[in-house]
Amino acid sequence: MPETVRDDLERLVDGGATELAALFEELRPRLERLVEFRLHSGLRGRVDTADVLQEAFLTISARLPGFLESPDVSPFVWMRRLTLQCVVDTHRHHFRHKRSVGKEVKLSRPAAGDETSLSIAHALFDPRMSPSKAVVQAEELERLRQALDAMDETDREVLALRHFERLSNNETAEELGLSTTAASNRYIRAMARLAELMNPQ
Amino acid sequence: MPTEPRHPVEILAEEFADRLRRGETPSIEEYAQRLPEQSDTIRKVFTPILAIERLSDGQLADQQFEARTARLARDHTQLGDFRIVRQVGRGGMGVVYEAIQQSLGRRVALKLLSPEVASSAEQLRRFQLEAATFAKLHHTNIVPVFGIGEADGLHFYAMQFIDGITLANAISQLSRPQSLTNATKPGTIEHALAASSTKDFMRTVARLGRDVAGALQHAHEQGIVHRDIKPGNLMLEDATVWVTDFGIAKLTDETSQTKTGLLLGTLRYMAPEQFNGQADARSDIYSLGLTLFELLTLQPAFADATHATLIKTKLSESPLRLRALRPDVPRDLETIILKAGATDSQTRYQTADALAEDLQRFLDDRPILARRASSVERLVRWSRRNPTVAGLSFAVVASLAALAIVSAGGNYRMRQTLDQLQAAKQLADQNLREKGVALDVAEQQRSLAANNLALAIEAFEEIMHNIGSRSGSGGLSVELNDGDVAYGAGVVTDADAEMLGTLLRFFDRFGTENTTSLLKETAAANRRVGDILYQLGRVEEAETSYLTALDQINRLAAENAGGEMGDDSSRTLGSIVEKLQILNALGLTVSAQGALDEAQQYFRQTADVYLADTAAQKNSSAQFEYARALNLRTSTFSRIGFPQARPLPREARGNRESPPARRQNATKSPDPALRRARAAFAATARQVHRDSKTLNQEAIRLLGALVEAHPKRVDFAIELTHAYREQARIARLELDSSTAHEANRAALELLERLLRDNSESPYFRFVFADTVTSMPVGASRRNGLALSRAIRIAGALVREYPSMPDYLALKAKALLARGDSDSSADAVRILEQLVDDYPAMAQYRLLLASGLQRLSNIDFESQRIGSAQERLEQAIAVLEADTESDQRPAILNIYIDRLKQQLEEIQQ
Repeated sequence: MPETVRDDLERLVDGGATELAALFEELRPRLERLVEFRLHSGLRGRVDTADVLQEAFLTISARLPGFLESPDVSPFVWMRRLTLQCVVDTHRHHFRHKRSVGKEVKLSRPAAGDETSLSIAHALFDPRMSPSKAVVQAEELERLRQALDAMDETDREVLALRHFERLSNNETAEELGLSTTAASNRYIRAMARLAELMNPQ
Repeated sequence: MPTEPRHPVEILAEEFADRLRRGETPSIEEYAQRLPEQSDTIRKVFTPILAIERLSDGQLADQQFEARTARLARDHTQLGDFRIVRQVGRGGMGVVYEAIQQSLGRRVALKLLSPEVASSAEQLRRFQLEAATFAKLHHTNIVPVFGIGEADGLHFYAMQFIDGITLANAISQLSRPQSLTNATKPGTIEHALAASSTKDFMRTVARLGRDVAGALQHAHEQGIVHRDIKPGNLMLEDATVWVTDFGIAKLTDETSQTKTGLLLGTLRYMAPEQFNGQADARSDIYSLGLTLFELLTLQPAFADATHATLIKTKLSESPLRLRALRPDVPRDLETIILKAGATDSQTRYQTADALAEDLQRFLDDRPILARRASSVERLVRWSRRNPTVAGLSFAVVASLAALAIVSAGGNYRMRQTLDQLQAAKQLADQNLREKGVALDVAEQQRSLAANNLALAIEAFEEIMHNIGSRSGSGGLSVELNDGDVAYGAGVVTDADAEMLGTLLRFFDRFGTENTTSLLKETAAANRRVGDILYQLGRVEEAETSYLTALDQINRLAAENAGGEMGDDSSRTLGSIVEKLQILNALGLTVSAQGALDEAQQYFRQTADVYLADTAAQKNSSAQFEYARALNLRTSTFSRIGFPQARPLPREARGNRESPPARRQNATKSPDPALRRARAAFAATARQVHRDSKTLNQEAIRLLGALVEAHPKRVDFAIELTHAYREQARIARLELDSSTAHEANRAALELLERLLRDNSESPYFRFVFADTVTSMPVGASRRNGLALSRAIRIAGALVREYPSMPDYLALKAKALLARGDSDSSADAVRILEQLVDDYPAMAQYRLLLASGLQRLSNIDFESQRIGSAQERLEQAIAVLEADTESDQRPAILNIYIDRLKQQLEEIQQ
């Protein structure tokens, strides 16, 4: 286990609630990024990232004793999962009247492939996103979008975690329940596949 | 948890991505060299990493900016001195809020710069410098910039709050008619645009353009170019138009836009030279020209969907055709806008003031300074742009010179035109000397022949347009009413025919030298010449022209079917529309000569061609021609009693291919054969009566749909009134007065709508009055009222345009329609003058003769037999006009026969 992770865990064991708040503040930018990436674009402006994070913090605080009893993942990955659950709950709350039961089941499964591609699609096609969208070459973007569309869900999720949420390889491994070797190999395989899809020979 | 080995490339990839995120620009090769045994994999997977990181980066910035800006409005955040009230807009450049500047208690618009602009220190520095310059602009039509600010890491500038909508909003509202007047309040520009008559609309557009040009002039004098004039940057507030976002385009120029290709919404209005990064005052003039174009037509002047095609379209010299899209735009206004939007910055207005000046002249009804580019000028310009102008052969120049001489008819423009031609020819000769040696002359000639022809066609179109505008109404319909009077709407002269003949020989040469590529154009030209001859009453020559055109279009179809099938379906469709037009014209021509059976065959052929082609059935022009054919068929059906015969073909026609079987027995006297023919035709007419009713219903259905889909196409609407008139006529034959009444009402309503929408236009006033006077009088009170109105309109038109013979003829026609003795006498006086002035106009002679006939009838009823006889003799003399019967249009001979018959009856 890397130093930082052991440190984080020790901080939580020693410091309890006070350290939890401090650690949460340190990780806030990464968690914000998670919320912003995973939150449905239709909710942006209506749902504030800060509110989702506050909700997440309450859950995290309540679950801290349980986590410390048997910490199976690093504190960050644990916090990320609970925060993601909050995002999913937010979606469910806002879309309840519109969604079928089947969709809800899907939504309640964290980090499902559908959700990933949804977020990527929004990143690429939100019409309000004109300024930065223009930064990326339109043609390259289009090829990337099509390539991501054509990938299988596991590969796409690996790339989303690594590049949109910016998780490290170790964090990705934890999140997916893989060894670091397996996560590492899977990432390279996914990226090679993306390269082939973008530039079919 | 022991750390297990990772893929070596993945370790490097993580580092690579981290460095990208820190803003470094690591090279892929560097990593390939660090791990040579994996260099292939590295090269392969690092490229998509670049793309995906860039995407993720942009997405992050956007989402953060968006979340933050949404929060600003929701929480009414305080930004420095400003308290946010609400978000009012969001665009490529940032977000706009309504805010209160607390220290001064004033309402402002705050524009928040997007992270793109705000993220670079260099950009911010420039922004501050330039904002200071823009703040110096004080003009009644420029939104004042109060200053710039920064709070909580957000950069913004404050400007006067404009409580209105953008011109882009206004345009999209105008294109949805249901939202027209309801939403706007009186006194505002958008109200003036939405609610006003055509004339007021045009003036509102001109005023708006003038004010914007004034604002631009002010900025240009300070050395500031806007660079991004477009509907979205013009704000309408009450009666004022405001120019906003001065110089912002330049600011963003070097960030997002140049890096990535320009945003399409902006590119659409951008002057061609701006594609090369050059912009000066004339670029703003161009953009304003295109903006006004869009306001008038409610569609972008250049609507291409992609950057590449948009740039290509703009750079290739395709002149905008404003009046083709909206025919009621005044010619002067069109000239001004096209000059502002000229591709070449040299031919635009050179200053915004000059543009404002011309718009003011338009508003004052003074002559504008801009001149339309004539085809000759275009020729000269074209030859300047094309160094290989060597192919501009002497024949072309000679043809155009001949044209110019005939068309200019002795005024000073002739000399001017000839000078230009001289210059063009010298240029051509010089180029020929310089280039001719080096190039394969034959090849050159061949490729340039097409260019020359295109120019000749333009010249041709221009002449047609001149004739059209001279005539006041473009229609060529000849109505053979109960009085057997033919009305042509246009005034053409023999000189026109000569001129077109000259040009036509030129076309013919190309038609024979070149194969399929030019056949459609030459066919169209022949048809137009036919139109002119037809209007001149030279129907037999017109028929020859039409037959030549038909032959050419058939040859084209045959050759297309032979080889290059489907290479250009739009061109094929064009040929089919052309063929439909030719067939209808032929039908009209032979029916004017009395050969109604033959006319029916042509109209039926029109229907056959149309119904055999599914593409044509989806094309509005083809639908229109088909509907016309239906109308013409029913109108020939219902013309019972008209002798269906024509004189023998003249020698001059030569031995060209004979049209379908026709009756060739001459008719010069009302002998028993003629009576038999009439009886036979009456029988046929009864037989086809049911058919004609069906055809008429189909025509009304089709035209109704066309009019609904194209409310601005006046020719569609007018044809629909013809269909209603046919319906009324059919209903009268069945003694079904309520249907007749209803149909007449529908026709009148349509005409009244046309007139209401275009109350200022002499053209519509003419069409309205002309149609009303051709309707049966006394069928209803409404018709009676309409006739009174028509007479008033005719009188007003004659007062406003005393030199327009069409309007004089209309007045005479209206007076004749009234029918009393004084009115008829007035009409005859007008017509006598017209016949003196325009001896070649058959329709004036016909009208005069019918007026004299009317007077004769009145005399006869009052027992003034001698006078009645004299009038009839006068009428016959007018029609004979010192010509031999075989040199007269058949229709005149038919009428003469009828008058002679009446004279005999009186004498008995």
